[in-house]
Amino acid sequence: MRSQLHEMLNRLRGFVRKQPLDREFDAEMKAHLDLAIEENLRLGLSSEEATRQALVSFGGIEQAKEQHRDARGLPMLDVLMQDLRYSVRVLAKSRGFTAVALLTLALGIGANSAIFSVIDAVLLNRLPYPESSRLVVLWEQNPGRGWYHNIVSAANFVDWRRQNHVFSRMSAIDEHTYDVSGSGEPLEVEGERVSANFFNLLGVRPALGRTFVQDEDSPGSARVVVLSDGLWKRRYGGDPGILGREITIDGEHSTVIGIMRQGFYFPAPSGDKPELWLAGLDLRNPARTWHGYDAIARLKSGVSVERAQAEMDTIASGLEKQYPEQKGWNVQVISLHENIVGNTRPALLILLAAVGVVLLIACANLEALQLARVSSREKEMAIRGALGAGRGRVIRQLVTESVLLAVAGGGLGLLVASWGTRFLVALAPEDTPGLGSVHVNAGVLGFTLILSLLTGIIAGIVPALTASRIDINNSLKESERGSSGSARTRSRLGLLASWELALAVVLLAGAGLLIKTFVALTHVDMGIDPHKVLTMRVALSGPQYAKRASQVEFLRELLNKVEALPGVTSAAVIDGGGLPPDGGNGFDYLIVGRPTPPPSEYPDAVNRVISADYFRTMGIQLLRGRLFTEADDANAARVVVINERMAREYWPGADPIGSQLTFPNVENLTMPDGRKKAATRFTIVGVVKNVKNRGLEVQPDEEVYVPYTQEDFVPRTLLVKSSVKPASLVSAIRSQVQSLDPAQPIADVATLDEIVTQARAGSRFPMTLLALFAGLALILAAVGVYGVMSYSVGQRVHEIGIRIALGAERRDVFSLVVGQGAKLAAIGLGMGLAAALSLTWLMSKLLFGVRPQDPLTFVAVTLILIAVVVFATYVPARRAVRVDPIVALRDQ
Amino acid sequence: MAKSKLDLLQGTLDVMVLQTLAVLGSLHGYGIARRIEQVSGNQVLLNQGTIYASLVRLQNRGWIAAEWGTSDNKRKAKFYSITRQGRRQLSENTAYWQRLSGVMGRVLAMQDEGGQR
Repeated sequence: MRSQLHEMLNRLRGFVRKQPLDREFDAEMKAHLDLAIEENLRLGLSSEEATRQALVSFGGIEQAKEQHRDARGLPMLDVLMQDLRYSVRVLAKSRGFTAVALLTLALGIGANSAIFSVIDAVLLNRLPYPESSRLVVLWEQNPGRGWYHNIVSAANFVDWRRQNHVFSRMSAIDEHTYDVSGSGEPLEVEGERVSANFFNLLGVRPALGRTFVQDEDSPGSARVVVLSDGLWKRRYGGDPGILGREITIDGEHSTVIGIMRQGFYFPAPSGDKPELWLAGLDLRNPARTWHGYDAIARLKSGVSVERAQAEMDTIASGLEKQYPEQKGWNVQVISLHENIVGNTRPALLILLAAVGVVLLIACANLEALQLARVSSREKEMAIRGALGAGRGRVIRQLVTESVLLAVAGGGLGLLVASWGTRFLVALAPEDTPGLGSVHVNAGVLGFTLILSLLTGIIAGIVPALTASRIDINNSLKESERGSSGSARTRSRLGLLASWELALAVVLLAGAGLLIKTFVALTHVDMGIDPHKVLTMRVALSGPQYAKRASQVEFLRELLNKVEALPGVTSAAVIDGGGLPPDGGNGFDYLIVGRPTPPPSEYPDAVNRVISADYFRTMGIQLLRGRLFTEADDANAARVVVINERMAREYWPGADPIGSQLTFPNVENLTMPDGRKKAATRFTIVGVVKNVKNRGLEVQPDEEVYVPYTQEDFVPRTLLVKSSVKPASLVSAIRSQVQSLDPAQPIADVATLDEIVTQARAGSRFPMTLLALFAGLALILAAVGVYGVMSYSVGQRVHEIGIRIALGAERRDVFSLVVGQGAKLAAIGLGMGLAAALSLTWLMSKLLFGVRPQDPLTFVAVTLILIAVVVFATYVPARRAVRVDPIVALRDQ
Repeated sequence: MAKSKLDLLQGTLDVMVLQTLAVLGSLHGYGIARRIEQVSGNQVLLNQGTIYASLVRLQNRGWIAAEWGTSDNKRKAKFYSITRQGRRQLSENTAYWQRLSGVMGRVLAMQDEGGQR
């Protein structure tokens, strides 16, 4: 064992230090011969005879050198180096071929590396928590009513925690925005109130100080806060002295007990990142229909997600029997990783398949180019064979050549990839998890290298086998054209070109469907006019706003001031539940005077708390009755406006105006000051047009609008419709806010157009990329067709010359070549359309407003392909027409 | 890369070189070649040049060491000597060759005992 290692190392040294060792051996041989000659002379031979006999006994000097080298170095590697050197010379000589091949490979491999680097960062990335595979998220769901991924009610969470045997820890999370005030400008940040075991569950430690202890779990215990690294540095200049000091959060004092390390995030590496964590989560709300909390858990070791799911199913069905309002509800257990990346996966996998197809086309192109070149190098191969190169040696040489090309192409591909990843990151939806960590890393390098090697071997093997079968006698005897192998080569090339076209057709069809999807999404009637609408959030924090009346007063004044600004058409406020096309909070409701269904079947509507001018600001059309007015204040009768969908569903053909609603679950709600809300009836005063409230792709749910002047919650999202560019109003609005209260921050400034665009980003990303890849595939396939046709015309110059000499019209020659191109196109289209028709259903998850077998898309794809083939065939056809029969025949 | 006749020959040559060095101490390539020729009655070595592949192989395995030096008649030459590892290897090889030649001898000395096949 040791001597083998010893030998390997020495051989490696021998391989590297070839020349000095050669020189040393020369000296040694010389010494040997001198010694031999001397001895021969001593034996009495003449000097001539002495030398001759010494040389004879020594044997072949070159042979000895060869044996010496083989014994001390790495002979296999020597051959490889030889092949590589030869390949470089050959490739450097045919520059055109090399350039086309390298470009093809760089694009094919580079696109793959770029997509892989995104997949590596997004899908394969491990979460930064110890044993993160044991972390799960729990959702409530009601499949019967189509509700999934619902946050969890406090009472259910508490029961789950008590009854389960599969989780070592469970933690509830309440997401909020908090106002941090005190030293410096007021600041609004995302935060979470969490169970005290939250950090222990995740298995993370703070960089400074401590996290929560069990005592701090009960509501009303000591107010303590843990800060993120970012907030600590931004707000407190990274001063460790902040530990133990009090800061003001939402107007209340809290003691800073810990700072998390840099890079800590939860729940996802992108999107809204909480920057502070508070303990003292209140889980005493008994209303099981009040879904308010995210729930996470750590599986006990050895427990699978499936087993946890089975146990939670049992617990949920127990709760379902016990509480009527739980009917139809159960629990979904999903791993934290899956919860984060699950939505991104289909699009990324389809893109991976698409770049894979692009690479296949690049591979076929390289193979076709090699094949064409091999058949034009037939003589070279034959001569090498005649000089004693074995089949294996010829195959090895040619495969080395294509592997060298592929690896060089892969190297260039890395450049394409490093540029491409930047493009991808800019294009991807902002909330894609892990986007920040996309870059060309070691994994991507390894992937690229393996891909390059595979590409080179796959593309090189068939041409190499073809070359190794060349019949030496025939090749050397025969003329350059019309040799035995060329007809077979031509048909193989034709097949490759058809393959490339077929693959391009599949990508084109996919891209076409996504483009139609995007167009359909752009033309969806959202029910609002998002043009020139500015949105932002006002904080309304501080003790002076503790009373609701003062908040309402502040907003009323602010709206008046903003509406008075030049360029402003109208202004309104809405609660923070999310702006259209996304949903607000869902509430169960009942219609007064109709039979009450069991609690689990209460109807549910999106509930938005707004100011009177919301409808005007958003351009929502009134269909019946009236909108809210100034008169609908806290002293007046409670009123609501409902949407068309709700009116159609519950008052078909009748007038809902004057009917009354109640909100049974809100009745159970305990307010922050401890009192219970009184049962209230709300009279419907108006019906407005539907607005998308569950995303662009989905029909809107029932929706109920409530005036904020009659509500306990005060909306904080400001909407401003303008006749001028919305961005130009930001500073004017900010100064209006600060003229009312200099301590109020504004946050999350955006235009509604931007928000709508972001809602479409999820479909824009795969569409743009697939269109790009389809375009790339088309170009590569066109290069392939062009190459094959050119080669074919070149091989048939003699035949064409004879045809022309025998009286064929130019037109006939032209259609001969174009006809061959048409045959390639027909085969390619046939295979491609069949494949596309049977594959596009795979992407139905990404489609909207178009069927996977959309005929228009497929017709368009066919036309594009025909156009490209005509284009790629035209130039070779022209060349065929210009063949001079005299030159062609003499050339023989 | 199956074990071929050539490999066996190489292996044999390696043992001969080791044995020569073990007995005679430090020696140059020509000296080793001549010595083997003499001992074997000129039956073994076809080409003296072949010995150098064997020498470099043994050296790479750490069984012999090499050093440039001056011969008795003042000529510069590369001198080889056996190492401790080389001696251990030689004794293993010697045992192997003795066993093998014993077995070969017995097998080849086998007589037809007239039994049925």
